[in-house]
Amino acid sequence: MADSSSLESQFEAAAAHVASVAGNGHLNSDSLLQLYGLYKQATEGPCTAFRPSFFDRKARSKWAAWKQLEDMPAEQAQQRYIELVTSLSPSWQEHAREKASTGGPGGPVFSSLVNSEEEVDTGPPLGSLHLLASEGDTSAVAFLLDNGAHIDSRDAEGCTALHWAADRGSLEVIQLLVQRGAAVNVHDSDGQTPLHYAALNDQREVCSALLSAGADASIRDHAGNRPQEVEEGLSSWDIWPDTTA
Amino acid sequence: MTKGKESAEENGKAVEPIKAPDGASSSAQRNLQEQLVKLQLRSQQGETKKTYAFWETQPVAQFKEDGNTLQILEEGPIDAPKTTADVRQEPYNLPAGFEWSTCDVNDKKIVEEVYQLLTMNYVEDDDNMFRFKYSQEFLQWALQPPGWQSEWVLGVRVSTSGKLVAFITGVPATVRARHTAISMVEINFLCVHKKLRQKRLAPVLIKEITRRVNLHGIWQAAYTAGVVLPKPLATAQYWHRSLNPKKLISVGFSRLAPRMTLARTLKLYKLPEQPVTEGLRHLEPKDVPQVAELLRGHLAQFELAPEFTEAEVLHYLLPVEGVIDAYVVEGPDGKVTDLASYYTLPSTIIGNAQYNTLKAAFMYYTVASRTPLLQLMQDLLVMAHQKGHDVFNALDIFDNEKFLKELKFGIGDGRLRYYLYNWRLARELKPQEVGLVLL
Repeated sequence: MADSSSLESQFEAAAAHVASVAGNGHLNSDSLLQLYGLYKQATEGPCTAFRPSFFDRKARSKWAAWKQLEDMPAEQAQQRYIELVTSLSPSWQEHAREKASTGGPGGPVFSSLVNSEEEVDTGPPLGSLHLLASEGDTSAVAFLLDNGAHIDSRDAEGCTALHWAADRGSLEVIQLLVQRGAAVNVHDSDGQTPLHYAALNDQREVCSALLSAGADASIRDHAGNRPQEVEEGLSSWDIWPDTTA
Repeated sequence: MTKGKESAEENGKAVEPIKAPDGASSSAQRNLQEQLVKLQLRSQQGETKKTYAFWETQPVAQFKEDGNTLQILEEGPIDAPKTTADVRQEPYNLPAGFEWSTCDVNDKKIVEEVYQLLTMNYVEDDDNMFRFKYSQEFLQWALQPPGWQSEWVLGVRVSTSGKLVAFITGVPATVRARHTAISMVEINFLCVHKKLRQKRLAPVLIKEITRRVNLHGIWQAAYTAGVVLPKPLATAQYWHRSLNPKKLISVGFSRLAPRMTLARTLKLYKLPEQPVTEGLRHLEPKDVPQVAELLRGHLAQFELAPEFTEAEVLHYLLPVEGVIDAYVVEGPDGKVTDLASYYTLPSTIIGNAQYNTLKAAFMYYTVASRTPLLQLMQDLLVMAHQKGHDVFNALDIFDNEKFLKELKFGIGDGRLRYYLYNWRLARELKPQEVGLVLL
């Protein structure tokens, strides 16, 4: 009894440590996936979910990381999790202790936003052309287009894949979409073009690429703004055609 | 809270860029990270079975009392009653080479020293990306409410150089804990220079400020911290409302949701240009009697709340540019029916080339009696946005749960624990039972 509760508390401490360092990029995605699988196995038992679709690569790799452990008992998963954390950051227990012991009272706490699933769970479906374009996944975008996906299809906001690529600054995908004949001066439901999106994101290089592909910098959105007017400071860029300056 | 880590600059840790060039793998990683953060929030609750070398010697509620379910501990002071004659007369000893120094924050040079100490060494987030930067005007306001004592604004200096290296403060307040109003102090701004974190200065600072407070016949204190110590009276959760989402994303305070464009995110958080409540205006000195009455009535419903005098209401709520903004709603009959307020606490954005300061508004005392709470809070967000704040922060204390989700606040990764020194409550409070804000 004593043993399993101490394993449990060590496991929780290790998980807390992982959570505290996960955000700072010290763990690569392979390690994170392994940790994810072990964590799910340790806390929820064998994976019973269906295998996600081929195009949903994130969900698929997470599913696989969990599924492959289905015969492992929970205690073993906890033990393996602790061992993995120890191999990735050997001094994690010291860090955890140090954090707990050096604090004193008499102060506030700095907190920042955690994205919750509800917020994330909107927008185009995982694996859609729009999302793959936003993720910069050029080969998957090409594959979908080769298999009949409509290049200018709209999401609920009236955005095309080119809007999404411009929003995230995925230059390679933009080039592919333009090359395959995507509409460049297409409006979303607020009258904004992919060029508006790139400008809003301060993506100078993307703006240039879109302009060379025939983007019209004189188009005004429903609020009356041209792309270089959606944010302060953009109009000073030297990429805008003279006619609109 | 004060942490043993060296500064982030020395770690050479850079701020994570917003848009990683390989969008796909970074967003997969981000998804995992989100789940892991949630997991941490859960596991923090089970994280209380530690030993506390210092706190187990202090008159504070202890975790180990929990196990003793047969005996019901009495609500009230923990220490046997004392008089000021029982209090040690001489200051506690500091390590060799350091000396006590009372800090007069009205002295321009001294408030600058305090400001520098806190700006370089005070509270950071877990990833060392942000550090609180209380302004000098804020410190002067927060540390000198009615009845303040100069010897409770306490510093530690290096004897040879005179350099200020540690700080702690107390201000007087009457706080009601359930049924008892207690004359106590609020302890705040405990800060030790990063280079001296191994010297165990914090316990000496706490003992010395306690002694100085005890000399005035005051035996209780309220304080808050991010860390778990023996033993939280209540645990509150931070929530954040983006006012300038683009900046928040670019400095790493928040993240762009994987399935939302920036354009849509900006639309989601867009606020009206102007407040909608008729008669909303800045609080003025003439409002104080009515506001004090309003506040008294409102705070009476909470189990832990201050009991403000009119002088305190005037001090804490009269607007000071860049420090405290308070608004009232005045009806056509001249009657003040509502109060809404926030204080301004910026943070340094550590190591960001584009921005150096995060401007945050923190919700302060707010009473909606005639105006619907949701509308009043939305107007407060509008005012904070007008003043150039990037984010509006609130805890899930008061009735705040009634508007947080509705007004698009998102949950934070920080929790604030409330503590009382030398006072035990019969039970832990829910955040909604807390009506006290410490600055």
